[in-house]
Amino acid sequence: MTFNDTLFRQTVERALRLPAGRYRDELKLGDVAEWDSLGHLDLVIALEQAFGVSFPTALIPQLDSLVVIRQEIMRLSPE
Amino acid sequence: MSVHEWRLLGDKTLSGIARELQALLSADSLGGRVVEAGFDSWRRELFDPESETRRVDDATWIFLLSPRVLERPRVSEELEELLALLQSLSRRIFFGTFFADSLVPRPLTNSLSPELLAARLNLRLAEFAKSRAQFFLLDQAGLVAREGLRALSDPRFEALAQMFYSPAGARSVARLVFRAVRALQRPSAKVLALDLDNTLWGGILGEDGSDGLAMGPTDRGYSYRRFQEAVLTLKREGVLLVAVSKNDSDAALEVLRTHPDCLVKPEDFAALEIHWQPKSESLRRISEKLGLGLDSFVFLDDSPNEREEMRRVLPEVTVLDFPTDPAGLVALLADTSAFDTLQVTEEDRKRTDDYRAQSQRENLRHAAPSLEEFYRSMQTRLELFRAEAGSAERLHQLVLKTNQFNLSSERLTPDTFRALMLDPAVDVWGLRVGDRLGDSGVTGLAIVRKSADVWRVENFLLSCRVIGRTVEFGFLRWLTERARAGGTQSLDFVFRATSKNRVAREFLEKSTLVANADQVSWRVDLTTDALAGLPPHFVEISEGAAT
Repeated sequence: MTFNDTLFRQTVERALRLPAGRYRDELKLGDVAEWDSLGHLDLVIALEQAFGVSFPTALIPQLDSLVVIRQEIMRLSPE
Repeated sequence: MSVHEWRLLGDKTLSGIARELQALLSADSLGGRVVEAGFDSWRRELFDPESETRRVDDATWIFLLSPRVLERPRVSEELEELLALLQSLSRRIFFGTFFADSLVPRPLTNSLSPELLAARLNLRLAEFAKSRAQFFLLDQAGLVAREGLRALSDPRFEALAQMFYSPAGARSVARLVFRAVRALQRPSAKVLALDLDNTLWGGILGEDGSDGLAMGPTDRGYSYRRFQEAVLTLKREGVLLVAVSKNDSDAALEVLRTHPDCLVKPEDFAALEIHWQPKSESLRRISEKLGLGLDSFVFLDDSPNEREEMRRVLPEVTVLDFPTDPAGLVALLADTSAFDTLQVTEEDRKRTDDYRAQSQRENLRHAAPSLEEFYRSMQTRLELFRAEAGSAERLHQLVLKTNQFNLSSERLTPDTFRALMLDPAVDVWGLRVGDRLGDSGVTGLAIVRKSADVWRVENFLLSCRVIGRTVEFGFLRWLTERARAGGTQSLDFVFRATSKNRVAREFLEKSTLVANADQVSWRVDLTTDALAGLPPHFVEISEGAAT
C-alpha cells in the first residue's frame, strides 16, 4: 500500500499544534514541548481518525516516535 | 494583584480539561489561571487544611467527578461530609452533576442502579445549592446525556492515564465550565429580537394567511411550538422579547392575540416593531426606548438578507445563524451562550412588565406639558436600605450587569462584595425605585468607604430602567446630605470611563462635580454649600428595610 505522507504530517502538526517548521519525520515523544503525555493522547486520536485505524490500549504507550507510529499505522491499515 | 485561580477537583486526571479551559479563557481575555488540583483531589486535598487547595484564597473550586465515584460503597456519606466541609469554608464553587456509566448495563433497574443513585445525589446537590449564593451546579449530566458517553470518553485513556474524558470530551466539558465562568464575569444579553414569519411560526402570514401558519402541537408546527416554549422560558428568566417583522402590523398582532396555536402573546413582548422599515432601524429605536445598549441584543431571523443587513448596520448586535431546519431552533437557543446567567432573581422574572411600564412612561413624557410636570406626575419613590444577606445576590448582580450608569464599572467578585458588606469602614447601600406605574425593585447601589476627611464612593450605579426620572439626582443628594451629616469634608466618586458609561460621565458633569487631581475621582466639596449646586430632583426619598 502507499502511505499518505502529507496526511500524516498535517495530522501530526494539527494534533500537536506544532508551530511551522517544527515537524520532522524522526520526531520522538518529548522532543517538543507540545508532545507531552496529554499531547500524546491527542495525537493518537487524531491519527486514528485520519487513517481509520484503532490502536490497542497496550500499544499506545509504545507509540513514542513518528517512525514507530508510521509503521503501526501501515500494519493496522486494511489492505 | 494575584491572579484568580480556577481550580479543578475530581477523582480522575483532569489535565485535558484544564488545558482546554485555559485556552478558552485566554482566547476570551477572561483571564485567571486554571489549576488541576491533582488526581483524586476531591477528598484528599480538601480535608487537609494545609493543602495547596485550601491555602489559596483567590480561587473558585470546580468539582468534576467521574461516574466511577458512584461505585464507592460510601459515596452518599462522602458527599455529605464534603458538603458539610464546603458549607464551613464559604468559597465560590461550581459542582458538576453526577452521571452514571454502568459497568454491567442492564435493561431493568429495579434495585438502586447507578443511574438512580446519580439522580438521588443530584437532588441533594440541588437542595444544597438552593440556599447558597456561591454554590452553582454545572450540568455535567445534561452534557453527557446530550452528547453521549461513548462520544465523550475513551476507556483506553482511562486505563492508561486515569483520564475519564477523551480529548473530545475534555473540550466539551471545558466549554461547559467556560460558559459558567463567563456568565459569572460578563453581563449576559438582555434582549432577544425575533422575526415572526418562518421564525416564531412556520409560514408567511401575507401568503399563507393566519390559518396556514404552522405552530401547532403536531406535524409541521411542532418545531415552532417547541421554540415558542423555549422563548417563553427565556422570558421567565428575565430576557426581554421584542418582535421585529416586516408584515402588516394589524394582521400580525391579530395572529399573536388570537391564533389558537400561538403561545407567545403580544404582552410577552417588551416592544413590537411590525412594519416595512429596515430592521436595524427598529432595533435602534427599541434600544433607545428601553434604554439598553445594542450590544445586549440578540437577533434571530430566517432571512439571510435581514441578518446581513443587521451585521452590516449594527455590528454590536449578536446575530445568530439560523438553522437549516426549524427542528434545530431550540438547540440553537441552548447552544447560545449569550443568555447564560447563573442567578435568576425576582427582578429578572418581572423585567418585561417593568419595561412595558417604561414604554408607558415614555408616552406620558411626550404628552406632558413640561418635563417637570411629568416628573412630578410620576410620584417616583426611592427607598435606601443597607445591604444584607437577603439582598446581596441582587445587588451583586447589579454590579456585574450594569453597563451604562455605572461610574467605576468595577466588577467585584462575590467574595470581595461580601467582604465589603462586612467591612465596618464601608457602607453598602441598595436602592429600590417605584412610581405610580409600578415597582422596579432593587435597581441601584452605592459602596462608600468612609474616613474622617473623605467619603469615597467606590461604586455608584443605577439600572438603566430607572435613570432619567431624576432618580440619579435624588440618590446623589441623599448621599451628599448623609456625608455632610457624617462630618466629612469631601464626597468623592470614583469614575472610570468605559466604552459604555458615557451617561455616567454626563451625570457627573450635570451635577457640577469637579474632577480631582488623581483623574479617577470627582468630588462634591462639602466645605461649601454643596447642596445648592446639585441639580433638582422630583422624587420622594426614604430609608427602610431591605425586604
